[in-house]
Amino acid sequence: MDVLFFLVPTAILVAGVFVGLFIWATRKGQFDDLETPAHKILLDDEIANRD
Amino acid sequence: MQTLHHNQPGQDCEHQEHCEHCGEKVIVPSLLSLKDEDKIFCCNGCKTVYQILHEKGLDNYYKLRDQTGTRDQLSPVEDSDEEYKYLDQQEFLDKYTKKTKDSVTIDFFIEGVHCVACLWLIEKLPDFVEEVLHSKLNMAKSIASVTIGKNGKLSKVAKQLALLGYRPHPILSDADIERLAKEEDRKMLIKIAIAFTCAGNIMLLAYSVYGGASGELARHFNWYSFFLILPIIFYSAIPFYQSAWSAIKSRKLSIDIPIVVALVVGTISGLVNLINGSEHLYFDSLATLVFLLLGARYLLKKSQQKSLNTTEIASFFSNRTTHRWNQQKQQYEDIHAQFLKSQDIILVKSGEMVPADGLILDGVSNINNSLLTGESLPVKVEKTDYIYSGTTNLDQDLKVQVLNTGSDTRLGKILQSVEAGWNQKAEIVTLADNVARYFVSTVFILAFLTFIAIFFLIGNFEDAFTRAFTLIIITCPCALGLTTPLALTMTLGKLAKKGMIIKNEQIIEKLSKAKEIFLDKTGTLTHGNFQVSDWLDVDDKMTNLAHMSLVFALESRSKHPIAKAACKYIKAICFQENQTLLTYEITDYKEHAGRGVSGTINGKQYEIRTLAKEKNDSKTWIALYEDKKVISEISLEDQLRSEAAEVIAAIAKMGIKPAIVSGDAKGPVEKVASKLNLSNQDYSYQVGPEQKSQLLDAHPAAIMVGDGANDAIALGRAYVGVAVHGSVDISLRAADIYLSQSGVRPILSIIEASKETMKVIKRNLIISLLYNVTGATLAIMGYITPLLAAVLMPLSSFTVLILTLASTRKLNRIN
Repeated sequence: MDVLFFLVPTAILVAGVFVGLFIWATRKGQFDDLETPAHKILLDDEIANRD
Repeated sequence: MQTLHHNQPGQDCEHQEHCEHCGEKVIVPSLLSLKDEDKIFCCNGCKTVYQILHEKGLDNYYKLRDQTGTRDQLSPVEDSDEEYKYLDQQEFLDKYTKKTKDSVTIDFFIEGVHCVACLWLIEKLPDFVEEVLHSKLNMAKSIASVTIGKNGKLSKVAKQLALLGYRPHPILSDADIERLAKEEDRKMLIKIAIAFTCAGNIMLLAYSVYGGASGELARHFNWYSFFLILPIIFYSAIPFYQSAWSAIKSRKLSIDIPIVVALVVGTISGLVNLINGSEHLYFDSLATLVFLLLGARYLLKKSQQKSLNTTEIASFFSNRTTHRWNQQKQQYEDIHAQFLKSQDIILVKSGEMVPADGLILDGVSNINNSLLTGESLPVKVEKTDYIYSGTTNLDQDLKVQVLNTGSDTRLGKILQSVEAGWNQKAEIVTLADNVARYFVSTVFILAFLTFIAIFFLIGNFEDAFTRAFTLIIITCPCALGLTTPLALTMTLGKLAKKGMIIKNEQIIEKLSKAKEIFLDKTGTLTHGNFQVSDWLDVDDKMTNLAHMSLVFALESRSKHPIAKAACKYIKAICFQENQTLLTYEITDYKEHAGRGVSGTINGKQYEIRTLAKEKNDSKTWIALYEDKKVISEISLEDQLRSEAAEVIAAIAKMGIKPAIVSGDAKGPVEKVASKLNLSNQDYSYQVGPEQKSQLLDAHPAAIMVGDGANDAIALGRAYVGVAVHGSVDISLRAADIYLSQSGVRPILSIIEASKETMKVIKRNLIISLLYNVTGATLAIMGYITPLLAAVLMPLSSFTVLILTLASTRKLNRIN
């Protein structure tokens, strides 16, 4: 089980990377409007693609 | 003497058609003849929308709408002549739009957005309106951002949107406030993300230790847990520190205080224990706590953002085209009403709303004052009379000299005093506040006593400290902090979807505590417009159809409300009985402003005007005269809504005493009161705006239901003010609640919803208190281990959460 000494910190680092990506996405405004995109999935491709 | 038609058309259900566009029952049909079939619509507005969509090949709209099953939420499209020309004016563009080299962007608040089909249609704007480059809709706020090219005209875009039934209001949002709000939202989201990541990982590590990891591995995991909680303590939990600090400064005991104590003490003692090698670590419980609470607060904030804030609403006021005389160009130009100045000369066309207070220089017409004074009958005005902003000019164009504009107008002053009064409106101490106060003080006292007691009884500092500390953690008002905002948020959201917009959560609790309700008559309990109630053909020489046809021929050219009511009624009867009107040719047709119409048909002189003979009921009687003899008598009244009696009775049953407060005369008010079974004490008539607000001051637990500016002050002063289907802009500024669907039923719905919500909250509070009492007992007795704490806390939170969600399902059944 010694490998855990390496794996756990690595796992936490990977988690950190994802948090970083989330922060980036938030700063870009991807999470500003959560309601409209939810409705957009019902629309045909021609509309969704245009945006 | 034949007496006909006492029922309103549409009430006998045999011949029921439904509008192709909005699904409403059709009473007066608008027909569209297409290649293969005739389509029926309830009004011209709906018909126009259908036509436009059909011609541009956008029938997909109906497919999408039916797929998402939101058909029953539509309401008929309103006809409007508004040309939106003010949107093309340079002054306006400079103030309201963002410009780039090749394009202009503007934000519109769109009325009537409620489903995917609306989203689809509005974002498809570039496809069927020329020069539109981009159109993006934010469904939560109903704000569409439209970009047009250099050669585009915003007026065309707005007109097109309005024709489709989506009335646009340009909004001027304060860019700085908006930016700050957005920044704050994003920061909150990041805090939650960090809290979640750290909490999740800490839990993983902690559970492996509970599961049996030991020795070197366990030590490592525990240290990782410590480092993982640091981001939470130093970043994610900042809102709690801020809120606890301001609570302490204002000497309030809020539930954030124990949370902060738990966090700080927990982390420090955890660090101490870590160094000593003990296993009493509570990092997992604390981290989860922060995450859950932050998440709940974020959801609450988001749902509050679904309505417009006050800065955005402020720009609503007077979004109208006005025709101002330009001395240099010697013609009238179209500008936005907010750019009017005193001494300007304007033309108020028939059908338009008066944009400012002024003096009539030329013209004779009738004015509808109902927004300002509540009177339902039009008032005649002519040269040297004053007219006021907010009223509607009915028949003929008027040339007016502007005296007061904007907030100096009578309407503006009313709104200002309403908004000034907002600050004085008592904020209730909510149930949650009360519970929090007692709870927090009890917990701290108990913790302190436990510490002292155990210390003296057992003598072990560590034991005493642990027990006191676990007491604080385990009674952490996670459930308390969650259940109230959650239940309130859900209610706000559900009601908003049904067109009942409540400004903040405190109002729900206020509604449930109200003892009385004062309702305005015109427009609230009644339909607010004239409807024909009796039709008597005095002579038998002609058929009823002939009588109706004559009246229709004469009245169809007039814009007076009585004329419109008569024509609507006639068309409805014909539709119902499948008859076609006879057409007549009229020579020397004359409209006598405010008095009636006249003309010659087939050699006989016909007039329609007020019946000379006095009838002592409170109805308005007009008559069709043939060569000075009465051949038809028609009565009109502002009819009580059919569901009014039932709704009032239901409200009374819930323990809220109903009463009518109206600016109208004694007769009509008494009549309505008797129909609603209200006693002598429960109605007042000819009440002016001042008196209305005095009345409300005397009844501190009363709900006020009204509309327009004439009720604005009263609405602002009331314990709870409810604005009914009227003008969006004015209502939202004065009232706590705005009901966009017409009728009295929504009033009942919001009261029912508020009582149900409070029931759910109380129930959940009791359950979470039970949890806390159990947990506290166990803590004092020393049975709470880190494992138990880590299990119990999320458990209590989740049970309360699920209970809240399940209980609010009942709200769905309230329509």
